[in-house]
Amino acid sequence: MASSFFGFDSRLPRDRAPSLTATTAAPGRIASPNHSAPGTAPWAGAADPRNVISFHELEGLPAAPVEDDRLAHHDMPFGLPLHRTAPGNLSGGAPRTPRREDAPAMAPWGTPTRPPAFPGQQEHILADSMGQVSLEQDAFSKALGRLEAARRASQSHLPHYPPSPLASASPAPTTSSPAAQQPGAPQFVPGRTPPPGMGPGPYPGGAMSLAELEAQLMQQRQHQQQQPPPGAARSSPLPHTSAPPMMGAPAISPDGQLLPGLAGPDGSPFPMGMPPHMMGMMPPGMGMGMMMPPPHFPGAPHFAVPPPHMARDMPPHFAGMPPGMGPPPMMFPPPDVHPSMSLDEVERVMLEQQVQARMQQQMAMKRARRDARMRELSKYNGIMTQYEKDQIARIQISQLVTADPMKEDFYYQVYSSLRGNPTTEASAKRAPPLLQRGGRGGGSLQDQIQRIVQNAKKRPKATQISLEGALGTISRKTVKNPRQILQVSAGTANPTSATSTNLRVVPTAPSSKAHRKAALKAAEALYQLVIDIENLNRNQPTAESKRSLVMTEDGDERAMTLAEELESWERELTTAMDTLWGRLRQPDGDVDPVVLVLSCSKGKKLWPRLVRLLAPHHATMLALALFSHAQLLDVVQHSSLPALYAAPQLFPGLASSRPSIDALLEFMDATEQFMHHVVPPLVHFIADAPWNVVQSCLEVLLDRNDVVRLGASRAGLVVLTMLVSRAEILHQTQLADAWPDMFQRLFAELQGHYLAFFPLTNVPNLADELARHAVPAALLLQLQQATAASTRAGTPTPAPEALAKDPAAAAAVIDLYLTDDVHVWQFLAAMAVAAGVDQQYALVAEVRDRIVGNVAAGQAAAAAAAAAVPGDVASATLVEKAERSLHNVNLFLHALGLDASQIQA
Amino acid sequence: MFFYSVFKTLVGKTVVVELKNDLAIQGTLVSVDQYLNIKLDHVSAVDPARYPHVATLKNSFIRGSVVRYVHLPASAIDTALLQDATRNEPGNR
Repeated sequence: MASSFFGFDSRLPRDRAPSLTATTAAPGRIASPNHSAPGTAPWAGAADPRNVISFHELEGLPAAPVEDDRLAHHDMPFGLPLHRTAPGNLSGGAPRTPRREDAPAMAPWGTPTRPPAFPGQQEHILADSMGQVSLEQDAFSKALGRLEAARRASQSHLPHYPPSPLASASPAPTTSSPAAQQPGAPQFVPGRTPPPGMGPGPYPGGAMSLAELEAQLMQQRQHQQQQPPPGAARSSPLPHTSAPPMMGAPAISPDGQLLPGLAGPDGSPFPMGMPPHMMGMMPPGMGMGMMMPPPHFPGAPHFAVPPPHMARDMPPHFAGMPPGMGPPPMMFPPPDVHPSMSLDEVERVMLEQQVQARMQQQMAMKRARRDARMRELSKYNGIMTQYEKDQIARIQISQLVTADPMKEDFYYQVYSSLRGNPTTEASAKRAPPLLQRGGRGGGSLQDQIQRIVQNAKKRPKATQISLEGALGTISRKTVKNPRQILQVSAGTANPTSATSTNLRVVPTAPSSKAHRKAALKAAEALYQLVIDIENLNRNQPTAESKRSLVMTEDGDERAMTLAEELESWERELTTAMDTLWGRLRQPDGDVDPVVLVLSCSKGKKLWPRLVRLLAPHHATMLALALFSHAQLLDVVQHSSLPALYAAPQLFPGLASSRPSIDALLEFMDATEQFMHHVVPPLVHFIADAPWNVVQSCLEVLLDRNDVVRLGASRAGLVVLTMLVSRAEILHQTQLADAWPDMFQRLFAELQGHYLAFFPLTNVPNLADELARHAVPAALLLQLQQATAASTRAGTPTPAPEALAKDPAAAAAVIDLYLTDDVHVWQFLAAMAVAAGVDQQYALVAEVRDRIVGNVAAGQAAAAAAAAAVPGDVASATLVEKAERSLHNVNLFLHALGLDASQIQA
Repeated sequence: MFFYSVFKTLVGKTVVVELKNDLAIQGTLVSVDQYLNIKLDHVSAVDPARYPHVATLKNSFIRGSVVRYVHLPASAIDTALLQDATRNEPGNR
């Protein structure tokens, strides 16, 4: 009987009525029969078959599948610990079922539990019976015992409810078995009062078994949701179940009298306002009553408060039921009924309540599932302390921080500064919390990093870190110096270049491999210097910048002052600049470095950066060097390539065969790179240059070069145009007195050769060649852009990627490019402006045919446009060409004061 | 640090990571670390028919050592700067 955990009968006196002796439990249902004497397990009441109820008998609860689901988180279904035996009483005097050993551990909420040994274990166990000892462990039982004791201590004032519906559900235990589930059959015998002192469960004071607990909790929740305890007067704190709960007999004492405690609010005999026969619908075993404070108790009002918290944390315990109350009254809050309401209305109300209860039950289930899942997920939280986590983070960061981010993290730093720091704030947000949490809250992130770096420099660190308890070691070095996986041997250098050290012989044959290599080497060396200087320029010491350390005579370190810092910085800068200039002017063999560097596209791309860095006098010297060797530039030297390619028959006797399409493409690329990178700085330079500079340039150009040769190349013509127009401008402002003489000289040299400047008129068979040879889209883009300047706006320009795939279209672009004569006309215009009338006349006479040709083409353009088949590339090209010719010739004619319309072709 | 630096600038861009087991995953780059481990968001397989299990993923963490290629958007890379950065590498100085 109620020999309790305490070792004595701790029931309240009023409950200590002579208990119904536990009859023999149905076999297999009760783990610990207490056919026992009093003094054995306190849950003896549960051994009473009448106290035992099958889980499935609970009406309204869905059958097995849902239970499986609920039981999946078997450690705490619904947050309630599973039913257990008396605390501390493992054996409970009953033969344990074999499953108990591998039963999952139960624990107070929040502590880790073990998963079941096999799925469905829970179900097995629970299906056995309510009164059974199911699962426990020492820890759990002890904990639970403690919990119970606490509860009991605090709740002892609560009424003690007699064991209720379970007791009354006497036919159920005997007839039902785990297999035979009797859904919802009314199980109780109305009028039957369970033995007082026997709660619905085995606990002293009638604690509940699992199903009761679950039902109780659910209903508590539902009830709490639904209504705040309306008042102690009503049995409202009573939670209700989804189904009309069967509370067992209404509060009608065995002697038929209404139990005082269950007087309805209006004195109706039924506390829930339910006629007795309605009780039949209530499932047995809902020990709701234990939560219901009898309204009449003097302490009733304050019961409204404890139930909510009781509901939450009191599963193994229950408030007693009013003495002699019999099966606790209904589960759900008293409906709004009056005795005068008809049965139909009452039924309707009850149905509504059922529906609501069902919904709430589902929500409660979902919530329970979610909570259980959360508990599972956080089962292993807290394995690492915050300090350990920070330590790992610190190791990682210490490998990452660099003393010189500009050197190590160059790309990111420069990129973000170029793009306006799109990502820096994100990283700034991320980084500081990490370090600050590690206890280095003081100072900014930068300071912290500096501190780490300083410490790192001071102490030579081991290459490997091994933490206690960590597997393996963390290699410290490989982040900055990753192991080289590819072995690129430098031993395969060209043997010819390794011959002499002091006199480097650079082959002058422009297209030879060695020459190319030398050019690349020179360009790379210059690149390095340029980058160094740019970095130095970027890092000029300011008042706030970091000071480097210097050793004093005493051997200490001390930070430099700003002046010292600046001084050292300037020294570095001057050294670098000198080196750069030395490299630029030191001839490699007999090739001028300028020419050499500019013979590869890398060098051409470097040129603008280079020029920007130089001091003005150096820049002038550089330009002069360029002009003096202009005809050695690759763009000038190969200027006959297109003509050679297009019409080799015009060049009989040339030893070299027709150049390949590759060579042609390369030449075009080189020309475009030159025009794009080298020419603009030169234009700037000349446009701002005073006359003496211009004069020197012109002199050098004319003296050292064959102007005709220059003129034959596009690049040369552009350079010449620049100089001539600048000189003319200066002359017109009275600054260039010597110009006319110089012009005469120039004119004389060029006379008769103007026609040679014109590019070819068409490139035959280009499309066929291109069909066999891919053209890089980038080149095409460049060519398009170059010709776009001279073609009329509005002509469609297809995308370069599409062009690269279409040989005909690509051929059209190349054709357009190669036959563009705009630079010639520009040059002629510049000459015309500077020329006297006679000279202009001579100019016109020389190029008359071309003028006429262009004008005629232009005038035919209109007709061609009309006749052009839209979409046909060839005809579109023709139209474009024609229009462009007209436009170009007008450049010249306008300089003369004429216009194409004045000429009749 | 070089590739780490490059990937840092690509955070937020859509990349396609091709692994050594031939799986190609497209996603937006969330973060990268010194080992070039990659975190991707809004993950999708380039060939979903072959790798249906990727359909369930929203984001992924890819260990750096299993990556074969990372396909970058060309517009996100400044090639001239990249060349300069390679010149700045400690091994090349």
